[in-house]
Amino acid sequence: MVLKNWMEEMAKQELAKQVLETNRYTQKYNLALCPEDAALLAEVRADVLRAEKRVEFGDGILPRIIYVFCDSAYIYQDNYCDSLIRLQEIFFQYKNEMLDEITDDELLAFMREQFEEVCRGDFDYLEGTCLDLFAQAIRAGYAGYQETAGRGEFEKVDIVKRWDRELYLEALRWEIM
Amino acid sequence: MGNYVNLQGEYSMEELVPIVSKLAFRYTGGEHTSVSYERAQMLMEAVLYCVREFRTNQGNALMAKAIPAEEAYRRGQEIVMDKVRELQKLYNEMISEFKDYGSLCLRDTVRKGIPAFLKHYDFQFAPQETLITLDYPVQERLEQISGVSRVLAYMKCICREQAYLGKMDEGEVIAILHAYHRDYGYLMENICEIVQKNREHSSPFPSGVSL
Repeated sequence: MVLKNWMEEMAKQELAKQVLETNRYTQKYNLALCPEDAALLAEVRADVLRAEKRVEFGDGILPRIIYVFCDSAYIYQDNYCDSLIRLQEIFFQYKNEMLDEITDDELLAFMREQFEEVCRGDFDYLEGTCLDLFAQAIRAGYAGYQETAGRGEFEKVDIVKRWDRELYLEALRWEIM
Repeated sequence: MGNYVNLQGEYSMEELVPIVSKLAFRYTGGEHTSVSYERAQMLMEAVLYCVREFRTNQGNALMAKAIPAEEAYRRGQEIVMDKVRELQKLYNEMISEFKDYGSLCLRDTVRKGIPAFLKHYDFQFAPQETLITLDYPVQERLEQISGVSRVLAYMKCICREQAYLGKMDEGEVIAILHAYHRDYGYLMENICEIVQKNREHSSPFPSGVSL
């Protein structure tokens, strides 16, 4: 679908305005975007949508990404803008990879959970492992995430045996006994 | 989207995109802020189809031009719904007396194809889709139209053929068809046309039958 340039410009300006408004909430986490950051994010969004062959109608996803990730332990002022750029790219990429089967909220919930608890702030791991495995499961027909809204899903598809703290402590207790 | 270029002169992108945007919101149930290019294209075509339906069915061209795009779309949607209802009514009225005269193509298209269309037609998000192949050829050219307009026009052709053939004895029709081709039942040809062309030259009895 071809959009006239001026409509794209209008959309970018509107998004930049929405993004700057999020500062009112994110400043309590010591995060804030300057107008240049907002303009860059709007520009990147247009590029990513074009690359992923997607169209955004109405309010974009970026403000929601900001609200979901602003309290992350791995995002701080120095990496704030770059993190949002990366999260936006990953989000649109995996909307396609998951064939639009998963809602925006479910995908964001999964991304946030994995980013924080499994990936420990590593975007490459989030993109290349957690989301990739989850997308494979969804394409194969898995729909359990609908009941959990995208939370606690990675354990079901993870192929790596991870260390379980509770299990370790219980095993330790038995050993002591 | 052939007529999309023509409509560009009438309704601009600025008028159409908000309509598509609202439709996309309804399509996604508000759960997705973005859709793929293919989906966006389909929704744009859905809007254009309804607008086109409105403009085609609007008698006064000047009045049609004066209507805002959103209103034209809404009215076009109502026209689409009316056509679906008309198609359903027409089908229900004709099917009890419907005769396929041994033509498998005619039988399958009418008895299976039309009900399948009525069952699966998405008037809201894909009104432009014809869905079925309409294998049995009718005497009118309908390639330029699509969706319910095409199927309704097609059904009207079938009804006219049934009315014409219904005036003749069924045996006579079958005899003419059989004389035309022994296996006429497997042909994908218009039986009305065959009867019209061969009626004057046909024997009143099938060949091989002695008086």
